[in-house]
Amino acid sequence: MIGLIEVMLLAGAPLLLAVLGELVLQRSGALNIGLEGTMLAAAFGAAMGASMGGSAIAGIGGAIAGAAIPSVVFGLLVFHRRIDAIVVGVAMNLVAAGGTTLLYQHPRTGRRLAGGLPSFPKLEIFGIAVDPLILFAWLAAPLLIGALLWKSRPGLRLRAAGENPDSLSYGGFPVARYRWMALGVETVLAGLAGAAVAIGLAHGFAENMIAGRGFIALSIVIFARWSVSGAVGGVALFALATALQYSAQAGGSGWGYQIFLAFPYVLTLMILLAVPGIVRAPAALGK
Amino acid sequence: MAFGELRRLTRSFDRTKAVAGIDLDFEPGEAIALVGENGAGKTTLMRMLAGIIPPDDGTITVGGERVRGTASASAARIEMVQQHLNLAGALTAAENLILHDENLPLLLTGKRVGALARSAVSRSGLRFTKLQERAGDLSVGEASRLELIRTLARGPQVLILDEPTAVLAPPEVLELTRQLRALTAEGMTVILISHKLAEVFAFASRVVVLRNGALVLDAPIGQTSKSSVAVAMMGRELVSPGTRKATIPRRPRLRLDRVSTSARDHRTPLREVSLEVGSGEITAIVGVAGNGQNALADLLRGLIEPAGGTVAIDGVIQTARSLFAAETAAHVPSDRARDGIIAAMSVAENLRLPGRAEARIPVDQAIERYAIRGAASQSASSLSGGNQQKVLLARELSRDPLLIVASEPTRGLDIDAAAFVHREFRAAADRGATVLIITSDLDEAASLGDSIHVISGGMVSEKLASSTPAEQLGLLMAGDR
Amino acid sequence: MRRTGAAVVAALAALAAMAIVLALLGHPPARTMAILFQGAAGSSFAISESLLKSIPLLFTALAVVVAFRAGVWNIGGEGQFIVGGIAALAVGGMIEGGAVASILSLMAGIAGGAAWAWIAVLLRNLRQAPEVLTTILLNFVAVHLMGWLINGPLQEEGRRYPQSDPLPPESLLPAAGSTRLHLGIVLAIGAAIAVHLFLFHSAAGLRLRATGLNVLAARWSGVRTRAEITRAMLLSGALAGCGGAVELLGVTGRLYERFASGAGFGGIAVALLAQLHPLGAIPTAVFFGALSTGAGALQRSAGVSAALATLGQGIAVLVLLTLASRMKKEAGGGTAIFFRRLFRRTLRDSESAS
Repeated sequence: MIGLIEVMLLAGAPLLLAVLGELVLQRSGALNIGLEGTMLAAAFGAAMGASMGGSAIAGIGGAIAGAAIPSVVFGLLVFHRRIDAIVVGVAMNLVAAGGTTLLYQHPRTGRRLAGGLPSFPKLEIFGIAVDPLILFAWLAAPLLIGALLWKSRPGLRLRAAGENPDSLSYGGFPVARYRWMALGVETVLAGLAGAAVAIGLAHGFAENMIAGRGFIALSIVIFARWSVSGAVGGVALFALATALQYSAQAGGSGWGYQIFLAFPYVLTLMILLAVPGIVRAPAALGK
Repeated sequence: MAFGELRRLTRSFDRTKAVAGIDLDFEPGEAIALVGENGAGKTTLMRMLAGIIPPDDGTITVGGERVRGTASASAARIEMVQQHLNLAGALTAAENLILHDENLPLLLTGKRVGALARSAVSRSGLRFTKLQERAGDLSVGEASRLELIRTLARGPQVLILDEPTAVLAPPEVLELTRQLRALTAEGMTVILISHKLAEVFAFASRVVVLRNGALVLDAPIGQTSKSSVAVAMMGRELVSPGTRKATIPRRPRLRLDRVSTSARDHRTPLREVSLEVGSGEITAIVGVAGNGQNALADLLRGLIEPAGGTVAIDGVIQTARSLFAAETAAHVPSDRARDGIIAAMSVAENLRLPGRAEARIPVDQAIERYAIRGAASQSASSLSGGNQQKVLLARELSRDPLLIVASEPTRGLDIDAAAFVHREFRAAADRGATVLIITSDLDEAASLGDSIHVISGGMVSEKLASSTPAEQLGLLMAGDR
Repeated sequence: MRRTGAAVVAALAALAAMAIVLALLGHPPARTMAILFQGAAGSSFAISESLLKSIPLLFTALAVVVAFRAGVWNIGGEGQFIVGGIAALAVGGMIEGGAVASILSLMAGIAGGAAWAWIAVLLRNLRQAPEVLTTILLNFVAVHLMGWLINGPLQEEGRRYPQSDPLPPESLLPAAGSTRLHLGIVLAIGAAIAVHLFLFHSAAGLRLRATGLNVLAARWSGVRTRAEITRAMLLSGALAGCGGAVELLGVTGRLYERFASGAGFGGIAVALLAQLHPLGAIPTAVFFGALSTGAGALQRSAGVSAALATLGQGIAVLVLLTLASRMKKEAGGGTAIFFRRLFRRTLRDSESAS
């Protein structure tokens, strides 16, 4: 049982970080379909950072730097050139998938990133060794994001940007500033999520290692109805299902387990089927 | 040197001059009404004064300082309440109030938000109680009051209001003009953009008239009259649209029997509405916007099911499906840009909707008959609002409809185009069509309708004669029965 | 003209960016670009291979054109392509080989793709679930469904590799001469012409485009917009599914793990570079087809990953979008489809204060 919960918390950590990041961004009125690509770039950056810097902390730095590249392009094109976020996001996914695979497969840069990266040091709390990743993703990040959105001045204006951008701009506050701020938060969180996958879960980089987590995060934001508690609950539900899938996979034999791989995606579809409508989306989302 | 000086202000949009070289002076304490038809350049001129859009040419000086952009405008304490409300619906009224506060603390607890909001309300001198409600849940009147409070709390020296009364009931308008006069008594310059002469004369000490981007009249209120202002606005005497001989007897065609709609569909649903319109008859439904007009129009378009009661045409009870599919009905939506025209399509394609190989009326013929200024292959977005409305009417009326439901059919049209539209409706009625006009324009209702119903709070009044005095209609519109 | 110019500039910019990336990785650009061009168009075989690669891209691009024009974000071309392939294999495997078998399995592919798209449209209609997400999720489901099938029920007789048995050769589409280029190219170009005629020269196409440009105005004018959206999505899925079936019947003959290999997202890139014009999708598909053939050659001779082509696709789209946004600013709203928003306020909410 403890094992199951630990698997769940660990598997859910990168997802929750990504969900919270996207939640902040969508609250400010922008939508990043390219989250998958951002996470992939972050995972690659994490592997690079950790292998070059020799520590997990350097990996985190690399991850955030990696995530910042697609984010800056996204922000310039969507906030300033007013290009539709969906098509930009799709293109960013192509660029990230193509770019990281190209670099990873290249003898000069890649192959040594495949494994053996330094891992996060465990924290000792009341004699129990806890992964700091779990602590940050499941405790600190939701509290910080909740306070940012609901109990702070930038959060208030960020939400106004997502509800009615004119209400901000006519007061003399540039909407783009708050959307960039939200994108910055997403970049850091997606960066940490990428680091969590590459360093925390896999100890190395692999092609397309994000494996749809970015897309699943987007669905959970909707399931969570743009609330932090909904995000935590949604990810917990999802991660539990994933953990159960692992144990079913481990227990099962032969080829049957292949169908279990589809389970998280089917579950997400079921979740969307279970949520009646998306009427309370930030009113200016995607505008 | 005047306190405020606008010199040779010019601004163009897409090669058409919205404002062409206007000079205007103002002093503290003046109550100025800025009037003109739609498109005369009133809003553009004031948005330049407020620093929201830059002028192509010309200068603005207020209190000896040049105004360039929002920062210098707010330094000069020039504030503008825009025509559409700028509230964030999902934020509370209190959060909306403090949103623009420059000295907001970094951390905002609910208590702190409430205190800041209450202090903003008290600075404005107005009253407001629903601070904890979501702005989206406020009535239109409450929301516009909130917007005014937010602006006043910033202590403006020059206050610009862009048609603040468009969504208010007559008593609220009266209340607002009284408050504005009180502000000018304290030395504030108040500029009210309007095209409603009654409120202009109730409020202003001075009236400035724009036409086609130029200033055509600037006079103290005592030295002018409603008719001379109207002439200045329109450039010529109002032409009487002419009367129509009633065709009697009329067969009842459209009948609503105690129809209610759901609050899930509209903020103001219909409540037990009964209505009967005959063939060959024009009935006007008049009311202040937001009193159930959208519910009525959507119901008759077949977009929503009635929650109670029945809609019948020629005695046959209708469903949303049958209303939607009716080939013999024409529908003109109130929001042309959103529901009427597909801007990115050509004129010809718009005329071919809803998807025919050929338009019912040949495109060239429609362009000629409706005097549409634009080519068939031109994109609808490049037409003026009036010409878009003509495209819409050409499309809908070419169905040879037995039933016409038109919401605000002449909004944004110049006087010739409006008269043309009215003639078309009369001609359709003379052919035996049933015409229902939903409008917020009393003059339109009185001149076009054979009879009038007033809509208020989702309820529709008894049938009234079109000669009913405006004061009586006004009381009904405000909900005083 | 300007639109064509923008596409050409975007394509060239992508090539330049690829050259720069390769130079940074230590490959002399002149040499790598020469290999790329040689591999893509240096011989009749190379040209036939480039055309061959463009066939699935053209089908999935047409699927995107139809969906985006209707205002539905079908990002699920990949999944629909795979399910089309699965359906084609299943039906083709049940019937004795021959022309009838290939026609039936083609039809099965069309139906399979449409059915897969139908799931997303059902979720949208029932729950307003945004199809941009559901179609992506369905891509993953399709990938794993195929993974399960080729490791299980449909795995080849000998059970050595994760792949299906091939269809009998007489069920496959005929190829031209000694090349691998098959009848599918005719089908794909025919489909592009048909989509063009449908969209711009038919009443149904007018309704579909009206729905995409302004759903509220289309509905007020009397278009049954929900039915239009459903129809557009099914047609879109059918085109992608047809692409899967054609790929199976024309090239692979069987299912295996990398069966779709990016046809879905590649199709989006093709459609965007063609600025959602079905006929414009023909040259852009050939361009991306050539790019991926050239990248394949580069991988063999210089050891550079063929993922280079994916990078090029993404860059081309980004450059085009930037150019198109400038065109929009000048023309006042030509490429409106790019600027549409995903989530709209609930219908008929105009009486609200916000």
